[in-house]
Amino acid sequence: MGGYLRPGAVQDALEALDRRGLTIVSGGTDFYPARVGQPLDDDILDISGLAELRGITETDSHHVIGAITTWTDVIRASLPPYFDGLKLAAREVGGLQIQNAGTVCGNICNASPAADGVPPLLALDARVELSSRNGVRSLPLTEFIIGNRKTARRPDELVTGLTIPKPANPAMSGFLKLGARRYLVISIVMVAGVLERAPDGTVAAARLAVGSCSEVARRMLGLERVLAGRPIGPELGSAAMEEHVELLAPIDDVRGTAEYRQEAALTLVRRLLRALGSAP
Amino acid sequence: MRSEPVPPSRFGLGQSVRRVEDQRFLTGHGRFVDDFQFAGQVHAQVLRSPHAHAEIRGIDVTAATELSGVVAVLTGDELAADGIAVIPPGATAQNRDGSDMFVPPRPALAQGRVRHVGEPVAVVVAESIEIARDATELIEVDYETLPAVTDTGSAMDPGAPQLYEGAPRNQCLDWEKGDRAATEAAFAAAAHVSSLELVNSRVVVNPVEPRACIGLWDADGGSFTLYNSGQAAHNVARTLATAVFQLPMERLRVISPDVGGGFGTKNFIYPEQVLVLWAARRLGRPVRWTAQRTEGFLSDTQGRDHVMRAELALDGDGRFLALRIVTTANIGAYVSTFGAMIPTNPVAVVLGGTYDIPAVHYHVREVLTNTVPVDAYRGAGRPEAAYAIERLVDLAAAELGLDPVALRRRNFIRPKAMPYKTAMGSVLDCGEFARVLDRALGQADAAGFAARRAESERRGRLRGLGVASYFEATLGPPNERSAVRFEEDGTVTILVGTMSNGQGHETTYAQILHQRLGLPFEAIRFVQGDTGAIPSGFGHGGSRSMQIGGNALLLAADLIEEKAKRIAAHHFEAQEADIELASGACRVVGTDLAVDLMDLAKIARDPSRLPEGMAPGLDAAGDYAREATTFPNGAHIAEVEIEPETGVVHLRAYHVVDDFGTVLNPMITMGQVHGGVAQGIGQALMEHTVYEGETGQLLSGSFMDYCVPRADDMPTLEVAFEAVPTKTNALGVKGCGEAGCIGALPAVINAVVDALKPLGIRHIDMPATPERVWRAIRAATSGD
Ligand SMILES: Cc1cc2nc3c(=O)[nH]c(=O)nc-3n(C[C@H](O)[C@H](O)[C@H](O)COP(=O)(O)OP(=O)(O)OC[C@H]3O[C@@H](n4cnc5c(N)ncnc54)[C@H](O)[C@@H]3O)c2cc1C
Repeated sequence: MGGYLRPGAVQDALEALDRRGLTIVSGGTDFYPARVGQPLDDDILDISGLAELRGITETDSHHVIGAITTWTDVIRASLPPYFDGLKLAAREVGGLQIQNAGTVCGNICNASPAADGVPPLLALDARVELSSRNGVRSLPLTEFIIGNRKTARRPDELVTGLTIPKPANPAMSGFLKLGARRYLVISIVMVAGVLERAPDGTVAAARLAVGSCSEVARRMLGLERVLAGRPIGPELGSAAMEEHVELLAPIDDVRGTAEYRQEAALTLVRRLLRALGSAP
Repeated sequence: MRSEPVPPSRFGLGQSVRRVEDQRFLTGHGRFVDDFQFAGQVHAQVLRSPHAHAEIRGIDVTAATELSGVVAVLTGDELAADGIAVIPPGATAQNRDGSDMFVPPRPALAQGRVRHVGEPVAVVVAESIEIARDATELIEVDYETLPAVTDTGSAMDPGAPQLYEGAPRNQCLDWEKGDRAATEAAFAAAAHVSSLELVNSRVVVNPVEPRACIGLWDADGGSFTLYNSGQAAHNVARTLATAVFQLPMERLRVISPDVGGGFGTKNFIYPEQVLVLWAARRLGRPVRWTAQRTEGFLSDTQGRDHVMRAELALDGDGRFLALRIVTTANIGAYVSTFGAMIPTNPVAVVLGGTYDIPAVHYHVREVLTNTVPVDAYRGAGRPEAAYAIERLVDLAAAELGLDPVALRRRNFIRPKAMPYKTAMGSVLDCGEFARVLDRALGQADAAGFAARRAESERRGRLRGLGVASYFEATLGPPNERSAVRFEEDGTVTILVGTMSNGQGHETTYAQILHQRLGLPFEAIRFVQGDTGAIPSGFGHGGSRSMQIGGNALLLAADLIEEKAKRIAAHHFEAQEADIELASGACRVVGTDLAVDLMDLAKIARDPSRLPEGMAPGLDAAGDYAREATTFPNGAHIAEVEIEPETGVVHLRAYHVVDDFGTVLNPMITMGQVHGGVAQGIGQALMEHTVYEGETGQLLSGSFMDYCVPRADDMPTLEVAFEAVPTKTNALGVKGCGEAGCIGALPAVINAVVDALKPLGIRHIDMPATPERVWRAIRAATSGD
């Protein structure tokens, strides 16, 4: 058994990280299941005591999701409608017990291709705040997750939070997931989107992301461009074309073949756009 | 004396008495094998083969043995040196040519070769389970991997890897039943033949409580005790004692305490049982083992895995003339306890279902493959039979443009034809299949389906209604002894040889005794699953417990009544004929002289108060032997809605009407149906056992990939009983434990195919996962 540290202040955590390599554990819901049957000899930095990093705060221009904010915290928080997609994703992470323990930041730091939190956070244009003894830097989520279970975090850094810009226009959001069943199983495809409404009833901006269909969840930039300026209505669904999901590179596994995932992604994108377009 | 009408008892038969065992289970007071602790105990961990097929060239246990806290590391060599015999099958069958089937030897630890991923290769015994696990990692096994075969349909292909020299083309049994010539002739003369290739998919059973066992050795008495999470204490004791350890059965006691689900898979003899006993004897210490969930996936017997070619011959009027089935059954790498038997008679006995079919022929070839052994799983053979005929009937209706319900009605065995002997030789005493189906159709509002379908279409969804008329036979060993013991403390103990592992027997047996003798329900206790306390028993399986054990209890009650009346007559100095038994007391008719049965039990212990020559005690045991097989049956109706773009199937409604004969406890029976239907829905739509072709690895080896249904995957189940009591046993029961699982497979798939029929799709194999459905739709709509 390795060392075990559970600081109560962020500064202490950062100093500890600066001294030596430590394995960060937050809710532990990704960490422990991955270690079943293996000796637990890592030196652990348990960040669950960093109370200052829990919860969602708001500034004039941003919302900030603290590092140890759980999925249940997200579900219970009172947030504008463009967070609905993230809340829907939160409800589908594992079951209640997992949502009570697992954190949003843990989900993105774990960087699984099937992480439910990543597509909605991509659609929210989230940035990741990384702190170390030497200061703070901020990366767009697209640059933070760089591969299957790979992130741009340096060993001396702690993810202290996620910042989410407030959209310039009224915005709504959604999330759809396809799996062998809704809960407690890894998804085959998930889709998240945020739609900003211009005063004239057209799409001011659209951000869409698809997860589980590539090493890292992908933004649908081509489709987003096509959507901009279109009138908001259910027919937005038909704007999505096969060419828009071609950038995905799903894999074949027991849960689904690449071919099926690609097709299902398109169907889910269309459904999401239709639903967002029809929303009042 | 005024005779008062007896009010229906709260605890009598037909009442939904709450399960008495649930208080214990729900408050954490149940005692399962893993809850038993013994002084000096040590922990066993099994090292399992990572390869599906490999030669073992050597095993180096040095490092493992040297780890501090390790007590023993044992391999197949020590097993052989100690003369521990192989695990024999409990039942085998004969080939068509009269020769015996091929049964490969199955040692508890692999000797020379491994044949499936998960096969035990060595066992480590240590002071803690953590040490035992660490030590297994230190064992070095030198494997030379061999090509593996896992697929049922191609296991007999000429180029397929061979598991055993004694089983050319991997076939270990070639079995048939029925009149081949008559069947061929009927097919030749048929106006229409419907034929289908079907897969009855392999399932991982997954009881909530994992398998577990503890071995104890009493050196002074030279005897073993095995705590086993099991369903058949006596059979396990008999086989382990007499065949594996070569001891008289009395020297091996098996205790199965509370058991958290079995579904068949805990009936069998497993290597781990041998290992804990053997290690306990070698070490002189109690040895315990509890499976982890992953081990369950890799070593609990799995279910089904039949590939069938099924054909139905019809005349010009849509009457069934003949049924022909050729099956390849994958029984895994070894012949498990009943693994070779299940695909034979248990299928044949109900083949043809509820229909009047003059000629039936069934041919099954069993193959050995590099997969976990397959054995009885809820329904065991009968779901395979029901699925085949019910899919064929729907297919025939579609091909002939007939209404599937009308086609069923036309061919049902009529009540007037009873007793009816099927082409497979089963004799039905009763059954009203049309009545049961009609009630289900009413309950499901089948008449309103067209409107619901139109409404779904408007939303771009495909809607389907699936009907299945299922037909079961209660099986399992035909004998049982149930005993009643009056205790000094004023309680009464029922002792049975059957084995509840979640079915609520503590409650239903007590209801029977309470109803029959009027004994106070709260005073009744229950003992099962202990070969030391119960002289004989045949355990759980085949939906047999109430039919066999329940009727045995009635016989015991008859003996008690008879004796009680004699003692009461002696006590009151009255004529025996003037004594009546009512509300738990013996009374002299027309007087207020009465003595409670509980008091009579006390009197009966005192020889001076008994009639001349009567043996003391009111205890009795009833021996019952099945007089006739019973045939539970019923109708399942599933309604589904399919998203054509993704292939997702939504179960919108599910209706069941069962004829279980007399229902002893409707609530418990309902629970059995719910559980069975859930497992059937799981197999039909979600549970997908995937072995990787070349490596033979089980890819769906955890709950992350193997999808068992949860409450939120289930529609509301509407279940009703339409009882046609059988006269072949005094309780009038037909059995209910497996039925849900039998009806659900065809009902769900018929519904899915009904929804897809407008696209020209005639069949889809289980599990009908979104991707499979999507593929079927795509293939049908793209015209390839
Ligand atoms: C039964 C079960 C079901 C699940 N179902 C789902 C599901 O449906 N969808 C889904 O997306 N996930 C699911 N998960 C995975 C998991 O619950 C989530 O990913 C969760 O959000 C992880 O958060 P955590 O706080 O528990 O992370 P942890 O396990 O504590 O950490 C995960 C990883 O991130 C690192 N890390 C955590 N916090 C930080 C930080 N602040 N700075 C730097 N590194 C950090 C850790 O070092 C570790 O590598 C499931 C897990 C289980 C056990």
